[in-house]
Amino acid sequence: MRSRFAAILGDRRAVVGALLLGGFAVLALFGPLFVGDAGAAVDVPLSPPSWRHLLGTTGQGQDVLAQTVVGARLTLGIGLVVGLLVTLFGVILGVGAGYAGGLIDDAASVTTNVFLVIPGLPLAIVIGAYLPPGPVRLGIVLTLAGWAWCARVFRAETLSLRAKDFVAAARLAGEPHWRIIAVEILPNMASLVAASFIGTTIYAIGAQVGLEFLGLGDLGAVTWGTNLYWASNDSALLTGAWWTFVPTGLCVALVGFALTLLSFALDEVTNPRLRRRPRRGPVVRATSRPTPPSATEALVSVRELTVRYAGSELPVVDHVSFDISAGEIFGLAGESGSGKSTIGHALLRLLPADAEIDGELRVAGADVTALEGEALRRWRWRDAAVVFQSAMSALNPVITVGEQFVDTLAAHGQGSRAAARARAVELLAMVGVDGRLVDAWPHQLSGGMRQRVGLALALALEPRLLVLDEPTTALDVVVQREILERLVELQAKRGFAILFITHDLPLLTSVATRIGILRDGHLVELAPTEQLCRAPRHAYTRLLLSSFPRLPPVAAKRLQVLP
Amino acid sequence: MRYVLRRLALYAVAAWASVTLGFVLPRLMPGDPATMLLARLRGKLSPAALTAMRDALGFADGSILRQYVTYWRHLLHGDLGLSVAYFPVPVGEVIGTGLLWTLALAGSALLVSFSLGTLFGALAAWRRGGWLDSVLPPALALLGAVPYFWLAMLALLVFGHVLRWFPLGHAYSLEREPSWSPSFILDVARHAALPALTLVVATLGTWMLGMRNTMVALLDADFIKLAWAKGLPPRQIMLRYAARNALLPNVTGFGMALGFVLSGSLLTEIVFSYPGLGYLLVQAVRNKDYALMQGLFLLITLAVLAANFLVDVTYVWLDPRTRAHA
Amino acid sequence: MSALLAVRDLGKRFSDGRRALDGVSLDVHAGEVVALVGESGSGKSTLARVVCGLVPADEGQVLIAGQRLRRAGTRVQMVFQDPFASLNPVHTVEHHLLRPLARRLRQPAAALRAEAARLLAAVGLEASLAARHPHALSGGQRQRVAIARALAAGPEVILADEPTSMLDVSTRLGVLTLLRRLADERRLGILFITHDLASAAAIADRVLTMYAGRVVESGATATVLGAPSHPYTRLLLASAPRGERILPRASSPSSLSSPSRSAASSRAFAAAAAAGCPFVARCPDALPCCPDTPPANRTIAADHHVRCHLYQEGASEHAALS
Repeated sequence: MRSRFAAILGDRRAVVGALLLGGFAVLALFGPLFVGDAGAAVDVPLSPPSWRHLLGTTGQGQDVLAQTVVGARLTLGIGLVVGLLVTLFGVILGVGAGYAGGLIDDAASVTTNVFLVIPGLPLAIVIGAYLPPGPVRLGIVLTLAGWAWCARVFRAETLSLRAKDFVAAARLAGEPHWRIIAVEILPNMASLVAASFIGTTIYAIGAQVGLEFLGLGDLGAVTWGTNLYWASNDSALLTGAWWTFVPTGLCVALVGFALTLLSFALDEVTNPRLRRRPRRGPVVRATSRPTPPSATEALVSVRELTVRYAGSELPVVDHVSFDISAGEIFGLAGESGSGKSTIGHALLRLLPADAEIDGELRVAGADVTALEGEALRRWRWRDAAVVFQSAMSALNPVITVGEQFVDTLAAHGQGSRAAARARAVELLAMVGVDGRLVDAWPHQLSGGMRQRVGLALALALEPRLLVLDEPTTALDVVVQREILERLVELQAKRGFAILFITHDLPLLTSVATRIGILRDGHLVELAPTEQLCRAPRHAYTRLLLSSFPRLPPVAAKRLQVLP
Repeated sequence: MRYVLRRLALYAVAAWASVTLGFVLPRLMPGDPATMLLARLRGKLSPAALTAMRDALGFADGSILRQYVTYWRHLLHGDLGLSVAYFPVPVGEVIGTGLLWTLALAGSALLVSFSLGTLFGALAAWRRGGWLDSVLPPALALLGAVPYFWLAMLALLVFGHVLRWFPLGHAYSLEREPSWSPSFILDVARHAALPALTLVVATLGTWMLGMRNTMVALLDADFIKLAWAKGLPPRQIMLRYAARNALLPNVTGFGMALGFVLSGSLLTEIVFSYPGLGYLLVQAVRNKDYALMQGLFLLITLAVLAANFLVDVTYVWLDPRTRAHA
Repeated sequence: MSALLAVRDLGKRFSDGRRALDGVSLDVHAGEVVALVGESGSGKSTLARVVCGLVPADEGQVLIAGQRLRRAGTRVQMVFQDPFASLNPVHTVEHHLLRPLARRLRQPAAALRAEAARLLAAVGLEASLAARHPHALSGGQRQRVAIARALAAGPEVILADEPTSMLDVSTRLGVLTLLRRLADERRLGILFITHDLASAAAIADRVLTMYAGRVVESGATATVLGAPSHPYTRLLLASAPRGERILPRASSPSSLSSPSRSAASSRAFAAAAAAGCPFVARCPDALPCCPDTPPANRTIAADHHVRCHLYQEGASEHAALS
């Protein structure tokens, strides 16, 4: 919490925003004491700025400066109060409905949605037309027209928090509902409440000024909105009397700007993703000594690979070297943070922009670190393809399965659309998926099917290396087994090499011929599978091997017969 | 299909709620609402016309249920009462002329700003940290924080009054007769340019920022990573993989912002004396023309609901997942 | 001796009418770890939420030491799968323990703190972690905190829903043995829900296999995993990696890699569930009666129950054939 606060303060935009707002607060509180009666006519109407009246006079002969300063008080006051009211209303309604669920939630959500689709200004006008004028009317009208947006946000957030296991745990501990809301749910919404308070205050000031401009305000009071109303009524526009509306508008704009700056800063603090460095290719510091490729003609050769992310001292991958020969199944095992996926990504040049790669990477003779632009694009998928863990998210959800094959084949100049489709059917059949599913959308397939589709896609260009990054981790054992068998079968038939990355050592020992063990970016052991299982040399390998409970052997007889 | 039907049901409820609001609101007014509503018409209307007006506003003789039914009957016949501000023209007629101008102005400005904003947003996300990404969003957000109508006043002052590039108001030169002649259409376009431009500039930032943020989040998705790994051309990854998916939440956002943006455009019309619904709205407020006010509210609400429905249909067309459960 | 946790004929439907749980009965005795295995979608997690009272049952009942459990309460506590979601990010470790302790013990703050420290020690955590927030802990540490929180409420039964599946492998075994130890030392009944047969084998006294909302096989761990009888349990066991090489084609059981079966399975699943045995579409040993008649639960040996037509009266010759 405290670090977030510090981060907000450290943001230059937040500082500018806060200073601006502070200035206006001082102006609104103390300014009116110094500028005299804003309502009194003091000079010739519509006289331009002069030393006597720094900002000129209005169509009624009032001093514009005095009007602007005095107007700040009511406008900002109403803005803040309405912002507070709307947020409060939204929190109570949204959190209440979201937490209660059931019929209450249904009713609340229909009401919210109805208010969301009814346009706010006309609604405010019809409601306002029937109420006596004054700040209270503005407050009521603005709250009524604006609460729904806020309630919707809080309801959604409550629904997601309510489903969290820590809420379930609190219920099991016998906590009363009010305490769950107050202690478990609301504290997690602090930044959302702040953001929505800023947002609704912007809304409240803008809408308030708009309504008053229309003539729905209290025309006797001095506020920024009525200033603009009188300016437009007194034909300031037609006579070019800019001083009657520019200062007031500028104030509205500056307050809005200051609040927007604050909300930007808040956004980036709560959503770090927006803050990340620009994405260009990863920085490659290839130690491209123009040495010939390693003496032994391996398919993949990794030498002294080091990957470091900008701003962090410790490398994620630290001087890792290994070879994969053609047709081999090579396994990399390690826990989260061991750098195993980073190595796979580096091999395919898929690391994000802030990664620095050092060392030598060769696949099928090509110096991977030297490839750039179009050459890199052409190289991809031809020699090395990949299957990711997340079968759910690795396919583009808005185009059909077939289209994803067509895209892939077309990108490498392979045949016509029709030919690509036919090839897609063929590839799908190869991994055991009904060819009719070329026209299916990804969401219509089960997890196992999607992972098969991913495998078929990877094989589309008959690459010599297949990188599998936790390909079956998200799947049930039975499906996992089916896919692995299919994979091993295809590998035996086509002879491609596999880099199999997983945390699951028993799984790896049942497919890989050689296994490398990674820990904190270091390759601590590399050995043929059998040797690794029989006589692990590194303590960490032994720890990993002993971490997996073993299944008892299954009795030989398959079925018991009834007594 | 289920999705569209559910949305339709929601719009039906919203339409019912706004009609009923017009019936309930006057009753919340202190004193005798019927008398007050009709105060400005007394003496101008025949007794029969006065009764018809009472019925249309929901104050027929008899029980409250009867009043409600009569109110609905008049509404369904398109009878919204007589306008005070434009006496004695029926509200329906008054609104009819304004609707076209508003739809043309706000509709085209919205489409332009949404398309441009989305495109810029996609580009900004794609070249994160580039000039488009670092300069435009804050500048546009600043503009977005300004009331639309004040921006319009500034534009009018600078481009109309000082530079005299554009006319100072109205939808066409008043000395002309409306026709489909090229010169008249040009005249209309010249008059619409400044208000439309104001609207585009004021709303561009919202769409751009929305698109940018969804797309930035999306660029880390696995299917984008896979698209790179597959060696797809960058332009295809940007448009067909990233932007196509980032568009979805933005279309929903577009639907939700419609009412808000329309409200802003109504105020902008007032500044330009544009003869649309916004201008009528101000006449209604200043003349305490309750019948016109309610008529406008209903019509604008229905227009927004219809536009929302179009957005929903577009959404279904864009997202196969909503189509699945037919 | 009667069971500590007794679940009787529990039924629960999804909102779309499909059965999530279909007549589930099970017993957990004090000091016993019972493992519930099955794949995702089999109803394991639904069962956990119904048993602890977070979700109301449609049919059947849950008894704790003979008393009917009607609402969520402290007698049954849960340890959740995702250690990142099960602790509230805004509260400290100690805060997570103090509340349930305060509700149970009603003692002064100092005594409660001492008790919280004892609990942390009991789950193998250092006392210095008490002041930390969850984000400063590793996954394994968080899961231990979650276990300590469950203990703080003073439960009789603990439901552990995939407690190790999201943890790093080297910390898993520690959490599993902790659960085993709690059952032994504190005489708790533990229902351990997992998809991993090997984890079940490591700590469970008894194993239940669940498929499509039904318990299809149950018995002592050695029996169920050593001599699996239901075709689904056999399929699960055959699929689990044991370190033996997966060879191309030849060695794989014919039932596994036939594409049409797995493709059809999900659809056939829903259809079959209505009438006969839900496993029929994937079953290598299906009999003619399987699609239409639901199999009953049969006791085939002492403490070994199977719900399959292969073990019904008159089916023995079929069984013998395969």
